[in-house]
Amino acid sequence: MFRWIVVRDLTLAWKGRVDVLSTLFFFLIVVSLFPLGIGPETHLLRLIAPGVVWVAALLASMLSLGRLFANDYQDGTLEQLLLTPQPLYLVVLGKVLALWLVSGVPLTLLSPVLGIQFGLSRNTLFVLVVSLLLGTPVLALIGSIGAALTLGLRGGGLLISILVLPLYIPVLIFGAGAVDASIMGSGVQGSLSFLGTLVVLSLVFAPWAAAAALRISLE
Amino acid sequence: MAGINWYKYASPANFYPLAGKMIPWFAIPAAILFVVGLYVGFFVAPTDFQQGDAYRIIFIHVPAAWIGMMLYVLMAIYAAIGWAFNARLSSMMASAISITGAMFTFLSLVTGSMWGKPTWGTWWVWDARLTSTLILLFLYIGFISLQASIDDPRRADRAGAVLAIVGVINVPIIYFSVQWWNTLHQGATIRLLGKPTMAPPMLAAMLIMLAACWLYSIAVVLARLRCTILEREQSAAWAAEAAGSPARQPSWGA
Amino acid sequence: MNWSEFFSMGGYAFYVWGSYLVTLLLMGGEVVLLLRRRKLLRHRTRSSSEAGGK
Repeated sequence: MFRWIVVRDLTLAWKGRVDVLSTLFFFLIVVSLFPLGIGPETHLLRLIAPGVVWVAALLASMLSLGRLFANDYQDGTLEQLLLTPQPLYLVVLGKVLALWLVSGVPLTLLSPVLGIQFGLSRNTLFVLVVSLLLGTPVLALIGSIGAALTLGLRGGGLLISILVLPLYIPVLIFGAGAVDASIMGSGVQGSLSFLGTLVVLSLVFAPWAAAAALRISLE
Repeated sequence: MAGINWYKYASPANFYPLAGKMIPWFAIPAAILFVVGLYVGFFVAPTDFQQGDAYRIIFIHVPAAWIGMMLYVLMAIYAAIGWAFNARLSSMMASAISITGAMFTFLSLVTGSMWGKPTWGTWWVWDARLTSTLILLFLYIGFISLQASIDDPRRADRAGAVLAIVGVINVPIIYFSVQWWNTLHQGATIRLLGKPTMAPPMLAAMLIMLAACWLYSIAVVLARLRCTILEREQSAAWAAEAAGSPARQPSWGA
Repeated sequence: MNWSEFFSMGGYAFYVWGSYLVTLLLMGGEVVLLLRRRKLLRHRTRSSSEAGGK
């Protein structure tokens, strides 16, 4: 069942791949805006790169959340999923995994290219990828709670942002902090291990909270 | 104490008059303590050696910050209880607290900023405490916005509970990460937002003001709770009576 | 008690009194808004029951 949900969501994502690609383009465009707004001085760009790439990743992840439950909610599939004997935790986990594979991973893979635009060294690019690889699942997991809570509500994406962005802040701090540490030459293990902790914590708690929120939204 | 059936007060209809009687018992002492606290703070406490008279802002800044934090936790507890036990009144209490909590948090940010300008020269500084308080305000705004966007009161109650619980679990994580972020980016170790060494009258004034803010919060939250009860139970006859018009006599057919 | 010295708060008058003014505005505003809300509700509940409500 878990595998079925992942495969199904992936297939749906492939069918709507324009949607998926636009998240990626959003990421690309937002990151490119900053040098345009701030100036091309390499030293400065290198300083702001971790924050800029990470904030753009946050925003792009948040935008992708609209796809997580909304479509299934509208065509009634979500209610059906609630009625299956499978624990809702697994259903949520499956959908989040599919979302991450389709949004978070491409984002992570694109990041080194963007890092090069900001003049980051090879080591730092590697740290950037690792930090995003760890961070994007957490973003998807925490985001799923917001998506579940706001099902069918007016105010859509904006409301999710208000709910979810404050919760994203620790991920941002540790993620960008790791890249920053790499640039400064200090230790990245601290930030990365905190990120790892967040991965574990969110894997355990987030799908449970999102499942509870789904039940509440669908009553 | 044992003889009273406390459970009857779990019903909004019964709690309404009780809350009404309770409010003055909190509002009046609150007003008195505000006066006393400000008197001690302004006329008894000495001028600080380093910060001059500017430090006197802490008599409202620090209590506001603490109350903002405590109210968030209290809000989450009430929301959780309301969800777990399907207790409407408990959920309504959480919603009533949210606005006051947000107000105090905002107040602590503004007063913190007003304190910062004369003390270290800038209107805003990204130190751990102010930044965490800002994030707390975001959490409050999220809760309030979510509840405002949901029309069905019961869904609003339960959704708010999930968000509040998630928020409260995240608060230590957020606080830790902000602390860590702050020490990472701090060049010189400047002790920002350092409180002046506390002479006894200063501490006394702060504690009195804290108590005053607490009592004020209880009074205001109870008043808001009563309004919420009236709003939700509007069709009930008792609500009409409580609002001051005689309940209509039921007409028993011909 | 030198009142003018007191009010100037060692030169920090704007910050100190400004803070307490904001405090007064926020807390007072909260109370005023609540009183207005309550008045509106009582009025509405009263008139809806008198006008032949349930």
